[in-house]
Amino acid sequence: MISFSHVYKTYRGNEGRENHALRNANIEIGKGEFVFLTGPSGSGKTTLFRLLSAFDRPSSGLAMVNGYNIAEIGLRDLPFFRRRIGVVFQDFRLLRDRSTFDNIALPLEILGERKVNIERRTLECLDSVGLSEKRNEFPDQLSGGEQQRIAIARALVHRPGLLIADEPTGNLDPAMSIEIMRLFERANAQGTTLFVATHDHSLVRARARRVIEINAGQISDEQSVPAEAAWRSLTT
Amino acid sequence: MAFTDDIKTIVRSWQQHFAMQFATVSVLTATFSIVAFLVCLSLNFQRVLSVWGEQVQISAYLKDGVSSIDIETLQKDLTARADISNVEFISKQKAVELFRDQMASYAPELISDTEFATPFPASFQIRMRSAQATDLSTVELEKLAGELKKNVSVEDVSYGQSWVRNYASFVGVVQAVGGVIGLILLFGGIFIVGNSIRTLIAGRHDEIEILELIGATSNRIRRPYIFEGVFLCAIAASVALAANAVLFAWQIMIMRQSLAFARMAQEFQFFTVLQVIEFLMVACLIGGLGSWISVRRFNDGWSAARGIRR
Repeated sequence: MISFSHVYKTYRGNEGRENHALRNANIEIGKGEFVFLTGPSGSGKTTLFRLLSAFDRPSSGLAMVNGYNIAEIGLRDLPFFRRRIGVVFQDFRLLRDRSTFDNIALPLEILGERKVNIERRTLECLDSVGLSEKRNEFPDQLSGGEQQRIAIARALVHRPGLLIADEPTGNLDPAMSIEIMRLFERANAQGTTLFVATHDHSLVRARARRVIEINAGQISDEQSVPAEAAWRSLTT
Repeated sequence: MAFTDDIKTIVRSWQQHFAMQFATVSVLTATFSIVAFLVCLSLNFQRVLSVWGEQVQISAYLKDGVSSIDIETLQKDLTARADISNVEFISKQKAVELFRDQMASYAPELISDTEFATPFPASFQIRMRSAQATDLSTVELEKLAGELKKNVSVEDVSYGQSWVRNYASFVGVVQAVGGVIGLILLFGGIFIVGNSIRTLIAGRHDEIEILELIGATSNRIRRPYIFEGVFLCAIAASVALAANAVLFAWQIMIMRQSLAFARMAQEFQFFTVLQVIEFLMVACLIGGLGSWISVRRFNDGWSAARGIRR
């Protein structure tokens, strides 16, 4: 599903100095996995997230996602690659002049789904994130947490094979964070591969999932939270 | 669904950028008005040229005392020629009648003047087969005139080709200058639409990024903007045509009141329905092209990574 081999992402500074936001990243993630990416702010989480979602291209190395080489993906294939993934952005990226319903329905419209299916599936997703009553409101009328939930609903509405989320619970209270994680787990149980970037260690510890750590642009550690540790975290 | 989306996009643009959209339509209307005026002027000059050109004829004035046999022989010779479409003999008497008819409104006393002697010689009025305004070759006319002059029965030959030729040159210059100005203005139109769409895109860069990131194709992203450019130009061209129609009707009314131009006014006409459709289509094409050039620069699938503002 995801295979990174010696991937670098380099930005050139004003003085011509090269700054490696990601260096020699090697990652293998199989179909159906649920993986957390953790690391401090500025460690390269967002850069990795941008590459995984073909939001940006790597400077070098081989970055394969869903069978597409991100470095070489062309304009013709790019939309079709992106239709097969769901992405939750840290800054939500909702269309301000469209209602909650229209924002969630957008991926289905782009896929060319029938109107009746769009309506049914969008209402289901609105219900799953607990915002059915806000279907006609606009993003600016919602709280940060509500906007986050709309962004998550939009990422899941077309049942993608891979869901990539950048700090999806960053604006949510603990109860809602757990609710969103349950939503992700439900999607994962239905076969969706999840890659969730977060710096919320409590969220990670509470789940027996694979964790990739990143620090200063380098994948420094890869571990799995044992089931017992996850259980302890939940019960204490 | 797609069409209603495009309509919604246009409504949103007008709501969010009313002043800019209004200014764009105003400038485009002015541009298309000038272009429509130039095209209409050119077409009408061409039409007048065609009508006048068809009337180009050679007058071969006969010597006094030419026998009727010589006249008949000359008429037979001329009629037999392939390059001549019509030959009409105007006797001295008929020339006087024609003169009286033409002068009746200016000098009515001439009609009742029985002593008015004919100062006009008999003549042949000859129409050339290829004497079209669009084919004003002097060669054929001059050749025939030269041949007629050599005929013993012919006193003089005249043909009104020179003034038509001058008029044709004038129309040619008007069309060339109008064409250049029109082209400059149409390119300006593309630029104006492109600029307007670029401003709209700058205000909606988030939308393009989001649509790209959730898998919208370039066509899907570009379509509303192109449709918007087409819409702006269609509105502007429609208003421009309406303004030109009013201006045209007013000018024709003034021309009809003037004796010198009354006859010319009959030859003038506004665009036909087909020409109106063609004009609107060209305007829409310009709108679509201007928008496409602009949106193509911003929507290449990687606008979010690059930062859309250039």
